[in-house]
Amino acid sequence: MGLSAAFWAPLGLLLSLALHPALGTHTHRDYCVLGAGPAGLQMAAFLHRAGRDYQVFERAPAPGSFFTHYPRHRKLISINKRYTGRDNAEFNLRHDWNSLLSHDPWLLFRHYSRAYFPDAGDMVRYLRDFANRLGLHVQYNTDIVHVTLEKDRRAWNGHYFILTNQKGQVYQCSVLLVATGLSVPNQVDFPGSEYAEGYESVSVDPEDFVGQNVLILGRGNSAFETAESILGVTNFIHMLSRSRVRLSWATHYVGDLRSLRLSSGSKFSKKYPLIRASYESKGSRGLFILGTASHSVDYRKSAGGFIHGFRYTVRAVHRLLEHRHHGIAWPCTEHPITQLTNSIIRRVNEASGLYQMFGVLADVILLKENATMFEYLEEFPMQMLAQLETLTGRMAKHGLFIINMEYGKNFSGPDKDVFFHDRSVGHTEDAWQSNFLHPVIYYYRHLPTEQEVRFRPAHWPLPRPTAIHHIVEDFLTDWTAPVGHILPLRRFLENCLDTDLRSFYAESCFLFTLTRQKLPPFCQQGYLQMQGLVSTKSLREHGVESRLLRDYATMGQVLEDSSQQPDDHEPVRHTLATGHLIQSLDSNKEEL
Amino acid sequence: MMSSDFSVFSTEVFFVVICILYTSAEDPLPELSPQKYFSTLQPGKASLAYFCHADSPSTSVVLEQLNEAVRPLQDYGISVAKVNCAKEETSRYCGKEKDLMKAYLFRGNILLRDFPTDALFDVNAIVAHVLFALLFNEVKYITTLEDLQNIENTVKGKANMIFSYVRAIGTPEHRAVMEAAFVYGTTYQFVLTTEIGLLESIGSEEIEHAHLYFFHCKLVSDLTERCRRTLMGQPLTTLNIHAFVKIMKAPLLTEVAEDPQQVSTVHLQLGLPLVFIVSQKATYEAERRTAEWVAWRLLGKAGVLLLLRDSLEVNIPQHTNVVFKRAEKEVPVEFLVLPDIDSIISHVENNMHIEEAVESEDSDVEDPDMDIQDDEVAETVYRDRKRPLPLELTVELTEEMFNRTVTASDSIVLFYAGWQAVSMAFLQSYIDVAVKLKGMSAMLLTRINCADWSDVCTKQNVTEFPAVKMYKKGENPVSYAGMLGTEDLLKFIQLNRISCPVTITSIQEAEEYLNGELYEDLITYSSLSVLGLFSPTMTTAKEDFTEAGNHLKGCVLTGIYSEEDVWILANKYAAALPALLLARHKDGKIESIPLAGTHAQDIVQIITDALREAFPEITVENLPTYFRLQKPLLILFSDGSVNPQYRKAILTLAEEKRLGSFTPCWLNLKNTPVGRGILQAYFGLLPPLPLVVLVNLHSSGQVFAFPSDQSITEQNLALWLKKLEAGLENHITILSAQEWKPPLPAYDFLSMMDATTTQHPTGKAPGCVKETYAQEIEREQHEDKRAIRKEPAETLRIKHWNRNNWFKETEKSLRPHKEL
Repeated sequence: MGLSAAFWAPLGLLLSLALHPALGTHTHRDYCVLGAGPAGLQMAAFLHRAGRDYQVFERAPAPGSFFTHYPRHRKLISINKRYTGRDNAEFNLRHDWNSLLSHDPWLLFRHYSRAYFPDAGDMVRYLRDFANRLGLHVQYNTDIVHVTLEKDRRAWNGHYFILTNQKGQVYQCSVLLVATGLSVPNQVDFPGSEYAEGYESVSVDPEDFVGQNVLILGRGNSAFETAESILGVTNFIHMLSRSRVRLSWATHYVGDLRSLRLSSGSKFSKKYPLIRASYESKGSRGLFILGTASHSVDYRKSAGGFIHGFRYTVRAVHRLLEHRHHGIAWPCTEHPITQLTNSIIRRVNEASGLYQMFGVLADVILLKENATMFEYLEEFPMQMLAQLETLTGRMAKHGLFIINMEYGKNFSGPDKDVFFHDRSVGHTEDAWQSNFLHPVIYYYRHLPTEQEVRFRPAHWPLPRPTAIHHIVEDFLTDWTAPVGHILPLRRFLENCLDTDLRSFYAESCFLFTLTRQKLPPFCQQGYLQMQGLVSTKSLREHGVESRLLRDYATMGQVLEDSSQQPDDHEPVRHTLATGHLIQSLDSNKEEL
Repeated sequence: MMSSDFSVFSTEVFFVVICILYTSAEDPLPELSPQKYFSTLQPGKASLAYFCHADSPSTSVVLEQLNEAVRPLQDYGISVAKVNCAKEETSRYCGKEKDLMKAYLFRGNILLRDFPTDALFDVNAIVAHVLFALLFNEVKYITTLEDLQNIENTVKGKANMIFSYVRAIGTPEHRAVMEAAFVYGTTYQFVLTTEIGLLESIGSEEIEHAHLYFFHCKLVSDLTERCRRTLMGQPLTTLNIHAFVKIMKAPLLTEVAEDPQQVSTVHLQLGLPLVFIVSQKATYEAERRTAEWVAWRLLGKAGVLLLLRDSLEVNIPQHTNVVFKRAEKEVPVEFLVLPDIDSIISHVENNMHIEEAVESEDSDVEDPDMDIQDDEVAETVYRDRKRPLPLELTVELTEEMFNRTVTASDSIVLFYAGWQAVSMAFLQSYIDVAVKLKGMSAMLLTRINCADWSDVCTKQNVTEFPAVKMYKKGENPVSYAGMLGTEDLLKFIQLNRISCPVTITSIQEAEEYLNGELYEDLITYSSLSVLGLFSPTMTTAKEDFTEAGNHLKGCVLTGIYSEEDVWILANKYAAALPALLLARHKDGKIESIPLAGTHAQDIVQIITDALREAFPEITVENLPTYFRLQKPLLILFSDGSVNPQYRKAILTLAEEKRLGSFTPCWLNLKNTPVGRGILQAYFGLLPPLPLVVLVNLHSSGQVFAFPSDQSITEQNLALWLKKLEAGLENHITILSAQEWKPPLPAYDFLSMMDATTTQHPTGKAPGCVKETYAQEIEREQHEDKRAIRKEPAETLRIKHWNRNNWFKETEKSLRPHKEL
């Protein structure tokens, strides 16, 4: 008996581009979302919160129908780590791979399951609650059977998407967001394939396999899931696949096997549709691919095919749409340059989107004129960097930083032993050789062009920057060590901006104000704005001890003492002419 | 130049230097059999071998130390090996007993010396001994004064001599001297002694330390004349000796005719200041003699130059006879008027403290250590991290508690991030406030760590740390915008106990409010009480005033009175309604200002202006308020409170508007000790006080000093200011206009990454690395002309350069082999 475990198949999206005119009356929606799975609901949640005109179409009578059937053995392979030892909600999402993003703290998966690998039934329940609690506009039992394009100059994208459901009802949509997943099974064809049982229909009762020899085609997640469930009752299980077993901790790709369960692994050119790094279809403007089907952007690299990845890419798509169609620029916070180091340290320590979608989504810092201020943009699809200005509505005229998370170049690859000797790097000087996921900051004087992005050096996520900085890896992903992490970052930023980004106490700023014509940014933006930082006695003492501060009170003492010496003639008091000096020098010489 | 010295020397003494190619950085001590070892010996190449029995313990102290010495010896082209005396193939160098093992130094296959293992007690000893043996001809070891005089006589008129005393052979000082001899051995005659008596007899003091003298013998033509000597003041380290020799090599006196600010010599690069003796054509000869004299006195402490005033393009203050330039880049030059040579010497010596201290401490540091914290806030917070703070006096909030807490009681919230130094520094002040308010305030002091609860902070619109907000029932939260310190925050909290503006309900109460009785305890926080007077119908005027009051929350006391009988007050203070009464509690004066048609923004401006004093004591806290006026500051520096006569003189001038565009103020060194640092920057030395200075902060950065021989009176000041404005006075100094550049370089990861990949990521020619090396060497040759960082970078380049040079040597020596 055989079993086809590779059930993923090329996207079953039937997009016929027939241009016949729409029939009769139809309902218009600005945004139409196909599928009420995790990605569809996630998009709906953002559209809903932004107050957009949208509709979700779902074939099944409830959300997340995939999870009512799959995985066949009901155990999800996405982790639900409820206790991380940290209170930071954003950080905790790094260990919560099932929740969608919302402002409702109750809509976190940890309220739905206690299991580390939760049951698929909990996911169904979660998705239902997500749609209901947020009041998302989902039309169930609606199967979109036909999609056509209708050219219209007034349309946002030059055409409308005309959707027809199984009852012949017609919808006109300005933007079409496809979140249907990849649910068509992969058909195998070889002599004897008629004996194969597909993963989609294989029995989940181990009793059915008692005493049999089983051949499993594929060594992905579904194959191992099946194998594990029948392991106890069979004679032999053979597993066969085109490629070696890839363990996710060796490839740091969550689609590879984690703890000997999970994965896909066939040629993705067939499996995934052609889309841009902005998740927009290369063929039709206004058509976006969300969720699992969007995995081609980062296939085998990042987590874009999984809930914990695409919840962030969906948000990025939403932000792009907000700017494109509603003139709302990409959200950002603006800060004085003195906050530059802080902003980066804060994000790399807590951001989940950066962490999950490493190499795909990156934070962008846009410098303002004279580099006194900057704008911080979160989670921008980094392959679209060249088009940043048009896509976000933010200007990058004065240089920019990109914050990305990266594994070391030596880390990955299915053949490599990730526990190789010396794999961790402890010295800041060797930070660039860090192997584990660590923040990397790119500095560009000018926004790279499309050419530069396309023809970037091999294995580089971005074009060659003006300067680059690696924050040395940390096993606990805690990048807050004053000397190990923050200091080298500050030096890097200082050298990029050619300024001094140190912080100073008010007393130092006071001294600088009265003894220099220029002030460091910290004094300018803090002290002179009457927000100087006052030191305390204890801190002052440490400062004197470390020689970074001077004890002016005792300095006076020393000088006063010396001025009381009998030989001292209060040198400055008598203003003597130059000639006088020579005379006295001459007489001195004679004495000597 | 060191480079030329060295290359000549290295070709003479060590013919071939190959080891660097053979052994990479991490190579441990190679272990060889005797036969193998002798087959590796190359003619002219020095090698140190330690012979031991194969079965002896592999980690003896000697081996450990030898292991460490591999790198340093390699730098001198000396290879190191451990030779295992196996039973079957013994060598005569293998001792008979296990504990009688020795190390041998060979050049080629000729034995130079053997060392008992106890002589090789540490790396310093190993390097010192080996170099000492190799440089036998270059370094003369002597024991008597006679020896010294003989050598001195032979070099007179020919070469200079470096004489050093070290306490023992094998000490770190000995190693430093030998390393210097390795580089400079052909240029200078090195003489070494370990005899204290010899040192005493040439008149040294403090003989417990190692000493190094530079004997200026080359200048001596007459054999009867003694060589002039210069004692090196710093401890004997390789680096210090190198710097010292460099300075000795520099010309004693240089003549310059350019802006002293722009001049740079080897002295500056080595962290020594420059002294310019100002010279005029008429008196050139005398000044030149003076300068030479000063130069000898300051040799090793400062560089001395003769500044030719007549051919100078820039203007220097008229009476200046000495210009002093510190080694620190950013410090402006000082124009001095000094009476005699001794004051020049003492000025230099008094201003060298910091430099010396740094030097002695950092003598071991090899690279510019980018990992050393140079942020005063980060460093002090880090050093203080273990001191327990009474944190329990403030309530630590969590996400769940936050809304409950701030809605249930009036609270102050400090938003901070546990990893951020500025936050943590301010937390200390915040806790101090809590200590001061303990049991006295109805305001709840809380804090929330945004590193944990970032969502809460973002929701409260806090994206920068630290931030303080006040939450009061029924009011919008107020952000604190004052100094991040105990006093200002305390003032903010105290003044917020009453509403702003507070509603006054009776004439009686209004009078009490104005004379400070009503809020007696708050007067200390607000020297000004503001009362808005309105008739009950003036709604818009009242709204504007209320808005202004809200804006000034926590800065100043504001009150509002708009009862029917408001005219009583209006009459009393001769105010036309609506009006503002400003009561200054210091002098008990009440001023009235008409408010008709004034908008909130302008009311805020009026009150802020009123908060400024005519002749304030300038402090760290209030300088920004006066600095904002964009006017030159006329500062009276005073050690203690200001003399009432001076105060009166300046106030009179101010009232009569005779101070022009200047902001008069005074600085009390008792309250603001950092004022001493300011005086030092202006005058070099701390001048006698009191003292009046005019600082043009905003335009030219010029500083003028009121002549200290004149008394501070109305007339004198006015006359001086008049001359000043007419451009008849010379400034004493100009404030540095230096930009704030990165204090240290960053790691250049990009080139580190390039260096490892054979192909340059951008596809550029792989010659890129070589190119930078070539630049490096070129830079080395021009180094004297450029102002570069001091010792650390210097060392780095020495190391770098050595590598390159050896590399070249190696290439040369390898070429014939290739042809074969």
